[in-house]
Amino acid sequence: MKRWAVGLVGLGAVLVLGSAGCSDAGAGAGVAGSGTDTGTGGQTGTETTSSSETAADTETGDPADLPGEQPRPELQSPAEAEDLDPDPNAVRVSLTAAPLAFEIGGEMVQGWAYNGQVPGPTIRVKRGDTLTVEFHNGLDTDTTVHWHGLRVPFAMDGVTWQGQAVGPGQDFEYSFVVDQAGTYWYHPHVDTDRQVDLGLYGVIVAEDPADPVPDRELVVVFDSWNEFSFDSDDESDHHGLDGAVIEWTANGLIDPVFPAAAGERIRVRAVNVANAGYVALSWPQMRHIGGGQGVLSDLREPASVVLVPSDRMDGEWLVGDGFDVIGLPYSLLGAPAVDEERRLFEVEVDTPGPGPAPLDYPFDGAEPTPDPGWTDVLYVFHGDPHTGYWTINGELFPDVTIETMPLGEWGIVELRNVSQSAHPFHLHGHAFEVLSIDGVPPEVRRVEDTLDVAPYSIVRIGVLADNPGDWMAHCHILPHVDGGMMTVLRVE
Amino acid sequence: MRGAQRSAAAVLGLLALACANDGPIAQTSSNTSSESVGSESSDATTQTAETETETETDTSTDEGEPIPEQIERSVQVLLDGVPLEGAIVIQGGTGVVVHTDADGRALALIDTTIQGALVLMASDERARTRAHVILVDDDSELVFELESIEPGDNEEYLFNPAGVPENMGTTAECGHCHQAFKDQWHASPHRRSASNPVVHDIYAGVASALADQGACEAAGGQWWMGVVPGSDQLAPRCYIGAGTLPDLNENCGELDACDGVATSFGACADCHAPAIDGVVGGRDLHDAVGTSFEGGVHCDLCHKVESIDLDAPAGVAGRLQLHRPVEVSPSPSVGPWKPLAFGPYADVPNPRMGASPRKHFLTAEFCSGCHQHDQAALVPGTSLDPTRWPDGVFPAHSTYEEWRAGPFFEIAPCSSCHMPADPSLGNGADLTADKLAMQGVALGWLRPPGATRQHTWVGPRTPASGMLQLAAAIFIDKSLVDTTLTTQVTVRNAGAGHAIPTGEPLRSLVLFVQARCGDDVLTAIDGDVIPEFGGWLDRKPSPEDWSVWPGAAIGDVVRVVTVDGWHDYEGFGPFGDGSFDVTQKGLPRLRVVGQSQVISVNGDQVGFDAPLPAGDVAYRGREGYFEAGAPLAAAAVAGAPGFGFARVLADEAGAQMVPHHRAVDVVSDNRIMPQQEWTSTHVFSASCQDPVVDAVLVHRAYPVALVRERGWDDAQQVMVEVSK
Repeated sequence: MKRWAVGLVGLGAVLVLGSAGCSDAGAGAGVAGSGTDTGTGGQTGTETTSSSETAADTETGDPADLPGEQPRPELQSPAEAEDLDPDPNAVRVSLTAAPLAFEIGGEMVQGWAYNGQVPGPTIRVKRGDTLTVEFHNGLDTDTTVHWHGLRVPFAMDGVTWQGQAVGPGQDFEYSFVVDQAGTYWYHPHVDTDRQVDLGLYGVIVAEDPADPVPDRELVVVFDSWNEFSFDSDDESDHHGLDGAVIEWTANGLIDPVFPAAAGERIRVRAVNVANAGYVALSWPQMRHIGGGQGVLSDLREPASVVLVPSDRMDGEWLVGDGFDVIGLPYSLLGAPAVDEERRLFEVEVDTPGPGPAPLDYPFDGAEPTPDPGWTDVLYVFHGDPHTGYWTINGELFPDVTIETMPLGEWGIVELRNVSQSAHPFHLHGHAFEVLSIDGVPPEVRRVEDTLDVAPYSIVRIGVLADNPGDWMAHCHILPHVDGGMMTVLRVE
Repeated sequence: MRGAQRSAAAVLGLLALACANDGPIAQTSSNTSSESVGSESSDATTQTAETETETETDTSTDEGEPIPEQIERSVQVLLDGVPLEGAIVIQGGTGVVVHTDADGRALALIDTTIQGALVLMASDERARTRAHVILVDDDSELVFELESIEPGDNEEYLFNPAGVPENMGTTAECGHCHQAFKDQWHASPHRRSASNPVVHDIYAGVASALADQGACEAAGGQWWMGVVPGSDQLAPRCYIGAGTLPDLNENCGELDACDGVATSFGACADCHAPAIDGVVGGRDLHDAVGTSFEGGVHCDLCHKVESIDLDAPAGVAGRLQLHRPVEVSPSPSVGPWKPLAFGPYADVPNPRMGASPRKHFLTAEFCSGCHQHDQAALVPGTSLDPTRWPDGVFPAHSTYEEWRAGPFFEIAPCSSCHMPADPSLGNGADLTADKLAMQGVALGWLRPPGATRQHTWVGPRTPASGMLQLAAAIFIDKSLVDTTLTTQVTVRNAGAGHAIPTGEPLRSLVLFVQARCGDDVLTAIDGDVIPEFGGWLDRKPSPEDWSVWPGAAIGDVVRVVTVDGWHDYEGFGPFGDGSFDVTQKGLPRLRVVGQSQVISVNGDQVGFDAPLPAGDVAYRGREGYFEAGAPLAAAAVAGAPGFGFARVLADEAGAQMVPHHRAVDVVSDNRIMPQQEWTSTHVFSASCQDPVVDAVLVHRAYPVALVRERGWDDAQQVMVEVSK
């Protein structure tokens, strides 16, 4: 959250404000509503509880880590949206974007929220459901809802390229079939940098009937705030990249506690909604089961998983003892940074015991598609944090050259990054397969909708252009989008 | 958690720690100087300064009592005793700036939660940056007494060396504290600018690879005594071909070497050896010895550039305005002169550097100091054609102007691509995570990701960087009608912010194209070819006798082309702004006719594997990229299916691809500008229904003829290779 998200209406002074160049004690991540396991929710922002009110246990953890020696808040999944449609194959929810005063890190801030909660209500569907969202714009400005990672019809994509925003006080009904499973999210696609930063985001859980059922799920949304954001003309310019994160929140909470019991098998669905910050997640015996487009081709057991802005990961916790979920220092350079580790939250187990056996997720072990070697569409990224301009093929959105892919054909898109910042490339309307990164193909088939392109690297992806429309293709570091790094890929 | 309470903040003067291995000091200050961190104010109301000793200071108001996370300090900044308006006041480690008012005063907010020392600094371009350590229980006004940097450039100053890798050296070397920068720079082309043997070969007219008299004279050279580059030693060397000294000086080069005799130096040293001590500008490259030779463009040179004069010629004493300190050192231990270094940051108060901020360090204008070189005719008795070059100069090196004319002007300056960020370092003084708590005046401040930029200057001369591979892209379209395969191969400058190739005009790009059915290579029957700058061993226009090729060898290839008018293209400057018509753009449109390979040689008579077809011109060359199995050495391939891109300089005699000191014209310049592309067409006779087209683009550093003459190790680099 940055300098526009101000307006302190109260002060709890729990969070130590960072020392960055901006004073933006902004909104963007509030205290989540409750309702982890109920599957329904829709609690309003006025009902969100402060950290002290939701704290469940003040006797655990290192007292030295306690912010202001306040009880640590309890981490819960965001409340879920109520399904208004009795049809078991349809989900109808109501969604309203409106201003909301909410608390973050002990400070009350004026932000924006869906259905009065930040993160917004989690929308839960199953693969094949028709999802209908009755959206109302309660803001005083245009907005839309974009369904990040879902293959929706172009008219439902929530972009204003050849479309209209939802005006203040207006309604719009989004409706489409969800033919995917996995963890997705929704957010505005108008003035995105600001509107997401103010708190407009929520998670979509698309269940797959083929997946095993865990004992419970945790939906956790990571957001960053108090980023560096230097004015390039200011002598204070340290020539860094915008978006260097000072603090992270999990469902709006700083370093909360997640109570768990030994023997539980928990599917954690993590989403990074930060405008610019990368979060490198790490916890003991990490089992990485799902990515941006559902269950992975094989189980991964890395030491950490980097979530780039807009990225998702599903993990499986086989709870035996408590552990910390750590954010490793990571920078927009697509590499570890010089900084300290920070605990994002703690999984707390009162009575440790043996961990359960893992669930049998349907990893298919699919081989990657061979790279044919030629290129149909080339996107090259340039830019500079000092100027604030970021280009694709030397062009600043909206003055772009529209590349076209024939409907129904498999095409090769090459992504090159000739800048010092990494760029998480996001393509609307389509998933894509990673063919190679710097010439090295993945070990197994890897399907994404957002993929980080590290500085000076070349990434090649394959796209089955099966969804007609003018699809936005852009970096998901939102200040970079503001700086021009967006283009249009036409499928016709 | 970050931002731990500073209940008993340990403020360390870290100079001694950071500079523990001090050795003999040439000109740098000692680690006991007290002028920068400490206040020199005699005002009794001002705060007492920290000295630069390794002293722990309790800044709490009471042991164990937390101090506020933010405190205020009133400051005043004076310049030569006069209140300074607009001065920068900045706390180390925060990046937060306030500016002083008309009274030189400002209210600074101090974040006490940062790790490391609490330090406020005052900075202004007219002075060296100074610092005060903050004592949290002393809220008296801080007074910064800045002193104006004395104007003028000191020719008596001796540049400090950077140091060498794997040796910490002493504080006399910049690399003692900036080890990562030193290592990066040492592997960079900038370090080799003065010692590059190719530069010296061209400068003196030498082939240093021809190291014995026999080889030299067999190649047509003269075995004369001359200067050994980088030394004051004389030794016999092989003088051959063009050279700056023999070409520019009429009193030498015929009977003996020009080394030590020449008086006209062509301003080569102004950029290639800009750190020759003494008078700047107009120096003999052979004056470069010691640091100026081994270090080339080094730390102390760049960080002595005070300003940029875009109207001046390239190099030091021209566009790059040097300022070597003229103030006498306050102490013999810091060397003879008061340290002075210009850099991009306002929060560098280390007295060893005497830093003063300059914004030009991250601008393209700084790079233009040498990477924009407009040149007049230099060889005595020659001149430029005023109808082509009305300003009396032609662009020899124009990377800066190419960038200005392209889409990245005001978007991404040179450093955006050529100085990658280094996330492994917290700052330029090698601050790492395990030293975060030690940040301060000496070790510097933790900077945000991206702030620490590698001093590598990646590009074509750093192959591992992959910059050439990022720069260009190839797209292939093809169509097959009956047995005729027509393919369009498009080369796009996708990644570079300037033309490709750029810089040294001896460079070129060569595109090789072939088609095949399986492993059977198809015969090219029409289409574009590699221009003459692709190199030839012999050239014969029709109707000369194409059965006679003196010097031919078995395996040589003779390629026959027709000349079909001129290529029109959008190049740099007059080649793209409408000034030149298609003939003035000077690139003949050559088309494939056919080729034959030499299978027998009898004197000057040769026999071919197939009769040569009729055409306008025949070039004798060598096998190209595909036939020779992807050779990395440049071969003479003019006339082969493909294309090429170069700025072609010509001398008074019409010879092309000459070193720029000899040039009097840019004959053609079809280099590809940023985000522009060029499509060539190639036609083959196909023997299958699904032929494959191969296209390879290579980057050549030097033209074939020059490589052969000088015996250079000419490593071509593949930029992109595509088959479809």
